[in-house]
Amino acid sequence: MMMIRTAILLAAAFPALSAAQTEQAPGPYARIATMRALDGHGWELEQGYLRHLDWHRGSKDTYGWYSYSFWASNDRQRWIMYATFGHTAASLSNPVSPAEDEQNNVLNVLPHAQFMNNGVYEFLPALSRGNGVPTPTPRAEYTTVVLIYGAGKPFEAALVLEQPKLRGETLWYRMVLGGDTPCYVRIRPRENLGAILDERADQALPDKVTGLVMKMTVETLNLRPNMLVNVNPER
Amino acid sequence: MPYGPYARISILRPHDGDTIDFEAGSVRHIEWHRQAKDTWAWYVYSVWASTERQRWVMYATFGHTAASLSNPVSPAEDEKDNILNIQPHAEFQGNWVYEFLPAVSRGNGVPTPTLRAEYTTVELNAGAGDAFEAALAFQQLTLQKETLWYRMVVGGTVPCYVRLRPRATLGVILDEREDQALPGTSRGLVARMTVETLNLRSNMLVNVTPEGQP
Repeated sequence: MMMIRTAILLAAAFPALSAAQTEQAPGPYARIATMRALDGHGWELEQGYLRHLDWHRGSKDTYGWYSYSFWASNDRQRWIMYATFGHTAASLSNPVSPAEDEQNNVLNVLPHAQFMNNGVYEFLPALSRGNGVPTPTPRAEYTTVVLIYGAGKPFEAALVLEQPKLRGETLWYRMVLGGDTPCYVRIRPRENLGAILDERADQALPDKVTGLVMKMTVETLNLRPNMLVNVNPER
Repeated sequence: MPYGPYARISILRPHDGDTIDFEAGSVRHIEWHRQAKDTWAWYVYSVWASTERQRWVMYATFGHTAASLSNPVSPAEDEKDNILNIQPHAEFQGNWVYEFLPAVSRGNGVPTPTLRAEYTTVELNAGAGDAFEAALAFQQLTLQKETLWYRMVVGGTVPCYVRLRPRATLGVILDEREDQALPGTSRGLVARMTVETLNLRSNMLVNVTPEGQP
């Protein structure tokens, strides 16, 4: 009993270590996409999207699908973000039944939504704290950083130097496909809005990158526990 | 016979909530082209990874001389069918003519119709075109696979270039992500660079056979 208790305590103290011992390291790629309910179609989109996620479950999709609603945002309030993390290039190239997925999507989601963007990102472990697959906490801070052209390398070099100071889970991704480059996103999953606010001092980027950044946007996400596939929300 | 240098690339956005009707109308309009014995090869792609154009539909034709691009099949009837089948369900968002640049490319200007393609748009600062092409020419010898560069001739703010890299899968595109970068000497010339991916629409092609299909 004592040994079990010790093991539980160790696992709690070093969750990354215990996960690494039992699971293969996740691949580096994430797909992150957003959609917006057509005006007056909020309810229909929610119902249609739930039906579509049921299709994924019924098709034995092995991807972990996260869904979030944008909460604090200028441009994207109430938009839905759907995302999947921890893929290799090969796994992201092989989604479950794409033709049937699209057919179901056209039937259940497209009549009620406008798809706003879709990007493929590469996780940057040297800049991050965490393994590239976000802890599915109820809230997350989501930061988008658009750089001036050609500023990617010095930006990453500056963030590497800051990495040892990171205290909580902080995941940096570089956009590979899907928009203006260079572009980065940072996800900081947190239990509640209070934790995000208490850590507001950690939002800032290093002074060294000031001249490299064209635009930085900080938003928050609310996890949608009823819109997850192969993801268990953290209690 | 060598291909002509010109390509026409256009894009349209289906109206919100009108996807099913748009798709059906597109298929009918493409059938009109087949019935009209259009000799042009028409490629149709959906934009997949994109910030601004996700699910928009791109249609394009490549390898034309100036004379051939000036002589499309039955333009009046084409427009009539277009008004009937496409326009009620979509908004036309852009139409451009590009010139293929063989000296900075690997390939013949007519893309292999693979199921996926990386599509990069590069907008330059005014007057930077010559220097940019010179920088790309140096890089040309290092190109490993099909990489097609086109300079916009008419249709928008210049100088503007697009690069098309047809590939079989998303995985291949991701595996080659290091090759996305432009030459270091192009820094200072580039105002904006956008990388998107395209999915070939196998059921919407005219005189084009998707690679890997009979």
